[in-house]
Amino acid sequence: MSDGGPDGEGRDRPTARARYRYRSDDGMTDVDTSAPVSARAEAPDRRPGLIGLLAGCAAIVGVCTALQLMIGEPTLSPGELIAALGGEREASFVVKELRSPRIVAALVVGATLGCAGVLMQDSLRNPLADPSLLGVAQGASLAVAITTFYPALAPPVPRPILALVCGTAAGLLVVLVTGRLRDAVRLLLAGAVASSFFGTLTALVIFFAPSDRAGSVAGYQRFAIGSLSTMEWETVWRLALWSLPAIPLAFAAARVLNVLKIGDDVAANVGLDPGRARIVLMAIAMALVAPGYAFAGPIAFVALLAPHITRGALGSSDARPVLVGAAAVGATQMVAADGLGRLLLFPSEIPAGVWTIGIAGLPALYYVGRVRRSVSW
Amino acid sequence: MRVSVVLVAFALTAASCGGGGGDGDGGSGAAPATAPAAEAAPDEAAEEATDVEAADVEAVEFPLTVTDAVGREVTLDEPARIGCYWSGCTEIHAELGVAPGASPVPAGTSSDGVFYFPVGPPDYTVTAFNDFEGWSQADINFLVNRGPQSPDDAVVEQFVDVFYLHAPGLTDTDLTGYEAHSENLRLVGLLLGKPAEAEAAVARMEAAIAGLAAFSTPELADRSFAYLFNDEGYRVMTDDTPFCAAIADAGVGTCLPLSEGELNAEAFLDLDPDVIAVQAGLDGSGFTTATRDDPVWERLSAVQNGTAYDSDDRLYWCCGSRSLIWALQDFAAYAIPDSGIPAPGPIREFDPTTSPLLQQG
Repeated sequence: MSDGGPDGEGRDRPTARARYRYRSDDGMTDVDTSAPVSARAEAPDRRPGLIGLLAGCAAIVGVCTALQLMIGEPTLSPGELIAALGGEREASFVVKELRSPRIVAALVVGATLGCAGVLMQDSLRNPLADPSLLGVAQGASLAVAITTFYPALAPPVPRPILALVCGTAAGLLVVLVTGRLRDAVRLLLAGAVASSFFGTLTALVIFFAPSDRAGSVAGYQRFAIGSLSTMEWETVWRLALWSLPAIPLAFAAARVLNVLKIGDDVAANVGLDPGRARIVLMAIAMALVAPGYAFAGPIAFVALLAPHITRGALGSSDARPVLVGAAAVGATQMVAADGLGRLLLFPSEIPAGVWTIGIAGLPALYYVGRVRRSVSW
Repeated sequence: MRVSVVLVAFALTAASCGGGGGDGDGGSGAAPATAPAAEAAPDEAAEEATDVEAADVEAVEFPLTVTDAVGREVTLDEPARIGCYWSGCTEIHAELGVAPGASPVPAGTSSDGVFYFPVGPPDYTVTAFNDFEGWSQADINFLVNRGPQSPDDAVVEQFVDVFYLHAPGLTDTDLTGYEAHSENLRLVGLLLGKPAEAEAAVARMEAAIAGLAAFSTPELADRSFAYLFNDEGYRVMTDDTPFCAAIADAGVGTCLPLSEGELNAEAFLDLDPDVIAVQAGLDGSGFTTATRDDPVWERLSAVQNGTAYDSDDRLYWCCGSRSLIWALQDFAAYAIPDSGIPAPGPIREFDPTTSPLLQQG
C-alpha cells in the first residue's frame, strides 16, 4: 500500500489520500494516509507536476512545430517562415495549406486519444485498456478495406466519412452489447471479442481481395498504420468539429472516473450506477477517437501510453489533472511522431503511426516500467 | 540467372527464321518483320539478325536445361506444361499463342491471371493464388512466378516446383528496363518449345518502342513523367520499371527518379511532373483525376495543362511485353495527343499485334 502516496510538496493529491481510505473500507488493512507522506518527505519528489508537464509538452510541441513549418521543400529560415505565413507566395501555400494542417490535426488527434485512454483505463480499472477495445478502429479499418479492395461495393461517399460511420457503428455495437455487463473484466473481454471480430472481417476482406487490387495494399496499409500526410484544412475542421466537443464531456466525467477507480461497491454507495457510468464513459471515449481514426487511421499506442506517462509525471491518478496532462502528452506524441514521419526521410513519408510505436512507444514503455512502483493506478 | 549462351543463340535463330512473325503454329505471332530494336543500335541489330539466319529453329531439342532467374536449373524432356502463378507468365503465354497449363482465376478478378486474349483460358484453373492443393493437383511441370519477393513465395515452393522469372521493379535482378521482358519471353519460349514465337514477341515489343520513338521531339524527351498509385497520398511508381526505360529510350519522356513509397505532397509539387498518369483501376477506384481534390493537385502543371490522365490498373508497371505495349499505346494516346494514337481499350481484349504503334516505326 505504499505505492503512490502524496508527494508532500503541497501538490493536489486528494484522490491518493481518498483511495487509501476507500481501500480500508473495503476490508483491507487500515492504512494511515499520513504514513506515505512522512515516508516520502525525506526523498524529494522530482516529478514535474502538471504545470511542469504542460510546460514540457509545450516546449516539445513548439520545437516540433517550428521544425515542421520550416523544413521541407522549400526549407525556410525563421524570417522567411514569418514572411510566408503572411504572404501569398508559393512558400506561403506550402506553409499554410500543407504543413500547418498536419500540425493542428496532430494536436487534435493526440489530445483526443490521450483523453480517451484515460476514460478507458480509469472506467474499466485496467491499465491496458485503450480505445481499440471499443471496436472503433477495427470498424473504420473494415470500411476502408472494403472501399479499397472492393470499390464497386462501397457507397458513393468519401472514405473518411464511411470510416467514421462504420467506426462509430462498431463502437456503438460494442457499447450496446456490453450495456448489460456490469463487470469491468467481462466488459473488457466483450470489447476485445468484438474488436477481434471486426479485425478478422478486415483480414478476410484483404485475404480474398482480387489480385488486381494488389496495388492498393500499400494505400490500405497507410491507413491501417495511421498517417496525417494527407491532412488539409477541410479535413482538420471536420476532425476538430466532431471530436473536440467530447473533450469537455471527458473533463466533466473526471469525478465519476475517480469514483469508479475505487471500486464498484464504493461507486454504488455514493449513488453511482457503475454499469451505466461505464457505458456513458465509453460512449464519450468513442466520440473522442472515432473522427481521428476515420481521418488519420488507427494510431497506436498514444491512447495507451499518454495516461501512463501523465500519471508517472504527476505522481497522481486523479482523473482531473491526468485528463489534462494526457491530452497534452498525447498531442505532443502525435506532433513529434508526425514530424519524424515527414522529415526523417524527406521527401519520403513514414506514417506517423510507425513513430508513435517505434519512437514514443519504447521509451515510454521503459518509463512506465520504471515508475510503476511509485504511481498507483 | 540467365539462359545459357547456346540457348540464347537458339532463340535468336528462331527469331530470324520466323521473320519476326512466328512459326505459323498459331498464336499471336503476326509480328512485323522488322524489329527496330530500341536498345541496340540498328546496325548491331541487323548484324545480329544476319548471324542467326543460318541457324535452325528446329534445332531446339529436348531434353533441355534452362536456368531460371534465381539460378536454378530445370531439365525438360518435352515442352513444359506451366502453371502461371504470376500474371507476367500469362502475358507471355498469350504472346506465344499458348494457353497456360493452369492459372488462377479468383472470383471477382478483373485483370490478374486472365490476360489470355487471344489464346483463351487454360484447361485447369485454381480459385485463388494460394490454393496450394489446387496447384498440386494441376497437370503441370511447375509454376512460373516472378522472382521471389516475400516469404509467401517460399511457402508456395513447399507444394509445387517453381520456376522464377525476372521482374525489375519488383525483385532484385541483374536485368534492367524491358530487357527483363525479353529475357522472360525467351525463357518461357524455351520451356514451351516456342523460341520463334518468343523472338517474334521480343521483336514486337521493340517495334512498339521504336514506333513510340517516331513521335520523339527534344521537347517531349525533356518532359518528366510520374505514375500515381491508387492512393489519396502521392505514392509514385519507381523509375526502374520497363515502362520508364521504354519511354526514355523512345525519347518521349523521363520518369521522375523516385523511390518506392509515399512522397511528401510538397516535394511532389516541387518536382511538378509534366505528365501524370493516375492508377484509376479497372473497376472503379476512389482516386482518379476527377476525384482528386487535395490542395496540391490543382496546382500541378500536368493538371493545369491537361496532361494528367487516368490509366488502367497496374499495366504501367506490370508484367510482360503485352502490357508494356498496352501502356506505351496508352501513354501515346493521352500524353502525346498529337500522335493520333487511339487509347488501347481493355487489356483483356488487347491484341498487341494490332497496336498502331507497330505501324509507326
